[in-house]
Amino acid sequence: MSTRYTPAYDIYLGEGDGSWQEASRYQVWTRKDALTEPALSVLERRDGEVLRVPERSRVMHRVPGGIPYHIEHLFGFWRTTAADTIFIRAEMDESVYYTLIVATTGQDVGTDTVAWYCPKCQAELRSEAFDSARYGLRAFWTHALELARAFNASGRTCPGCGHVHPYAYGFEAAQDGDDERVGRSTW
Amino acid sequence: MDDWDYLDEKIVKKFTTWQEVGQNIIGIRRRTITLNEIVDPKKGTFNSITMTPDGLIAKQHKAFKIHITPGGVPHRVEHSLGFWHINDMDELYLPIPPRPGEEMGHFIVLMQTPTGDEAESYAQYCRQCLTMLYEFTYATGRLGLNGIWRAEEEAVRSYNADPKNRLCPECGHMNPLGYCWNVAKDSPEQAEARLLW
Repeated sequence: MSTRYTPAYDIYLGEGDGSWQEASRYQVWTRKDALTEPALSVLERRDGEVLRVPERSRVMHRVPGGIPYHIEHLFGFWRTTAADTIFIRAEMDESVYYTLIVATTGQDVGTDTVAWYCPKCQAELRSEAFDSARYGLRAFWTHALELARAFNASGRTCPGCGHVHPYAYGFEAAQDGDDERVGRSTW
Repeated sequence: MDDWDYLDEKIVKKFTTWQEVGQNIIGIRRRTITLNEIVDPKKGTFNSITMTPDGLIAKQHKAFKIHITPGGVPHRVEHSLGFWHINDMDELYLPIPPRPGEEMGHFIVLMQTPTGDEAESYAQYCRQCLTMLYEFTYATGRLGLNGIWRAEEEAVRSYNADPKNRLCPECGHMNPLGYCWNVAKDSPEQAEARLLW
């Protein structure tokens, strides 16, 4: 079987169905929101601290491979991936364009981890690894939603401090159940 | 802690040339970017050309349109690159228009950091029949990003040094001189060639 030759890929920001697009060795996600909608804000966990990427009219930020990150209102868990993830936010008129770019050369694709931490005492509540190199990115997001639902069913209370974690949710808002919709609006 | 916002005015200047940051090489150029075109104040409209088995394909770049040139595909930009660039790595272009009150937008270019034997070439093809005339390869993965400008200069210099390199052995067409990306490196003859192609 021969592979189709593709000399170039064009992706228009804010168009498409909001799912990840695979273009050669890049994975790209993009969405256009109204400025009035809740901002997709990037949080990273570094050395036990939670750090927020500045919410400016223009932002280009790199989440280094190996750093757990969460994007508020986009996916309701902490993801750690081997590949660097580039986050771009650009306001234009009454809209904001979001873009995520992941370059996936062979050595950068490995294990993805989905985790939850207690917002009060920072204890790890649950962590699951996924073999993205074997199963691919689409399967990862499907698996992450399954894990989020399992977490909502049984694992939200911190055994250390008793704090109840907000509901988890997956990547695709269209797949949200009632609990996940509440979670997406919360964190 | 590394830089958190590459578009911050104090940080973006670092990216006027290429910077290796983690798994990517990043360049950010200030350009006039509209919903119709991208204009480099020194070189004019940014129009790229890609070489395919079906011939040359011209690509118009504009705001909010990501363009990805996959690794191995020869490509050039008219009046900007006086050679064909063949990169083992994918290249991704993302033009973002200016903020209100600003003249220039951000033209973001990403490519994956090459490792091992991954390399790039500066090639010349006959403008009439597309026969390859010349190729200069730089082993970016082994030799590092710092040497690419010297390699580009050497590729252009060595191609231009002998007119026989420019004479197509297949169709007999005499091709124009090559030139570098940086306008400041142009000789008067190369500046003329830049206007031509």
